[in-house]
Amino acid sequence: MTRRASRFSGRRCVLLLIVLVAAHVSLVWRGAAWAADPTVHYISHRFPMLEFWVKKMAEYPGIKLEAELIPFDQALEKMQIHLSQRAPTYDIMATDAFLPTFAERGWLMPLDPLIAKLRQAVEWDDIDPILVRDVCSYKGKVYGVPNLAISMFFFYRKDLFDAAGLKPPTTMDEWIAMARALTKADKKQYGTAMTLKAGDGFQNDFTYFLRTYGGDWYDKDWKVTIDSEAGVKALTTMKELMKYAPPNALAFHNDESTVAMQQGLTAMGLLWQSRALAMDNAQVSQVVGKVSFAVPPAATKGGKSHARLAVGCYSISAFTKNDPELVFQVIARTLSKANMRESAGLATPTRLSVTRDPEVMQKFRFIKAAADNVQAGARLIPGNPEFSEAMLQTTQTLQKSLTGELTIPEALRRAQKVMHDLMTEKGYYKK
Amino acid sequence: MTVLAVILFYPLAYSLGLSFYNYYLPVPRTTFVGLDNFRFILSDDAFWDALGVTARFTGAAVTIEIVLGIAVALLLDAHVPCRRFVTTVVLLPMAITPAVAGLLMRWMFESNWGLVNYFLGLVGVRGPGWTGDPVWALWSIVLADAWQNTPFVILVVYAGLQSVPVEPLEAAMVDGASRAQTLVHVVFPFLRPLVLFVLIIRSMDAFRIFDQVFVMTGGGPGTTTQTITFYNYVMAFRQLRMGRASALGVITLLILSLVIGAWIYLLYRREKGEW
Repeated sequence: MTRRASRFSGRRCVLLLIVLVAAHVSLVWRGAAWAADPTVHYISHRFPMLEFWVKKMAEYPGIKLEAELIPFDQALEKMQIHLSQRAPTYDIMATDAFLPTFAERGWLMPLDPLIAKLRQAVEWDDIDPILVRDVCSYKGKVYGVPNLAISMFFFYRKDLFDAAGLKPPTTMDEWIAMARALTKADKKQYGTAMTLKAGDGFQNDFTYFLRTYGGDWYDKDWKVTIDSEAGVKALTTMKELMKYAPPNALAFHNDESTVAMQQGLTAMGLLWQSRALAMDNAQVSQVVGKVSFAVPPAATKGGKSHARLAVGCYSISAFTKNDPELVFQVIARTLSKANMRESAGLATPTRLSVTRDPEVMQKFRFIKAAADNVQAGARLIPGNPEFSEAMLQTTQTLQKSLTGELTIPEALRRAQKVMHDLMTEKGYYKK
Repeated sequence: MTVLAVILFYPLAYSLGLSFYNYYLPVPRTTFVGLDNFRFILSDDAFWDALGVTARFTGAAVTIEIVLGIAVALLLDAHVPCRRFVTTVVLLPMAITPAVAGLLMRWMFESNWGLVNYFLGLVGVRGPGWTGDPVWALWSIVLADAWQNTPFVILVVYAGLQSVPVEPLEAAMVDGASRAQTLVHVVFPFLRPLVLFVLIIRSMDAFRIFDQVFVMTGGGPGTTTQTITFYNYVMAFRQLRMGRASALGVITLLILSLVIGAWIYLLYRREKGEW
């Protein structure tokens, strides 16, 4: 070895040593920081209420909250991949409609022991017991903390309706006629919003139309029933309404439909309650004070309408490395009376003493509309774990009837087969 | 060799092995199912639909890129003012990450507020719904891909043009050949190996397109833009069917090998493999 090479090698050793020492110091320093402040990881989709909860949870003393608020399908995907590998990546997850699926797979921690221990501290008995039992529990165990309830109801531009001498539609036929009347494509004004992106967005709309026409996804024995007269009527109406929706409505999820309404592109539509307050946000909306709310149309005069109802459930991962009690206490921040009162305009609170408070009811007009909507027949999606699994494939197939790739009966037949095969595979029916 | 084995052969062998198992991610237990996964895929309408979409996309995108790429390279090779500046600008899209380019294009093709429909509106044309339109959705991805990858064709062909020897060109001129004749009979034979190279690389890349589809359309509307790799992704990460997804990966590899083999055979059958 030459002297030069030897000197070079020596320099490299010194450099390597410096890098190693730096890495060690960095790790020790970060380790010390971690030891001082445990990091709680959270994941969910994004809308104003969830952003508010993140802010409140992050205020819990002595923790660092790392929050990921991403589009619905991506959040679901990330949760599934990490949980299936039993990775402790996330501590708190907004499981919502997927709670039964995740609980069935053993991915969620049963919360009953923590609730028993902290019942008084978090005033658990004031939380709507129906939501706890029907939405955030699975096979008799509680797997989620219900901290918001929202439904889809009818948003309409009161100024446009008044100018045209119209009242909000009460039947599907009226909806179609008014959408036609209010469509002025040359002025970039479309009669109705439609949320038709395959997946959860399409499912929300389709579920409403299907149930309002008297059908449903399953019967009481979990037999798939979408290939029905109600299914045909649902897709036929959606296809008709799509003519008066913005041209790329097939790519619209909740965010796109909300923005379209905020920017004055659409005159009415079925949107989530959580988007109502955003209509009056002057920073992002051009229709401040112009949007009113109503119960969605029924199939016929005097009939019932069945829009979607959703309850937000925060669950703890079964694989969390953090102290479950600490994680539960962080979630409990979303249940505090003060926080629920503050957020009542973003979603219906789940604490009974808050929803029964006349002052809160008066301050946030959406709560009344939401209550009317539930009264009118808003319902949760089916609670079986397979529903969420079948959703993407099914809605993709059903969407093909709107694009013209398949006829409506054929799309329904294929979608029904996909769901039936899955239910058979999961042992719901005798082969 | 060890490095190759670790980064190439091991994942390939693992994936091949997995394709014979019923591996459903939420259930840790796997069972050997032989060729069941392959049978399922080959009898699945969604697979054939995705293959059709991929073929249409690859054909359209690669054709546009090759034709446009050669044309621009020839233009650059002629006397273009500010050639260096123009060359740099033309090559810029290549430097952008495909997902970012997809996002950029998604906004460009946005039907209500996008730049494309804005310009179409200026000339009195009402633009379509692009990414939400079953007819135009695939075309919006084709155009996005062409925007990003034509520069690669330009770069390679332009480099090829610089290396064409002067003597045959002078000889053609002396013989009184026209500009078009010189191009066809003198320049193109020199470019042929390069064009084949570009064709193979671009065909392989286009066949495996994922980023733009994911960002711009998510495979929709319906399944009009669901390419084979996107379908593979859906199977693996949304349906969590890892065994089937691996089988689909193996099938994709076989199809791609056949397509590339066919390209080489068809374009060089006379030369019998001469590059």
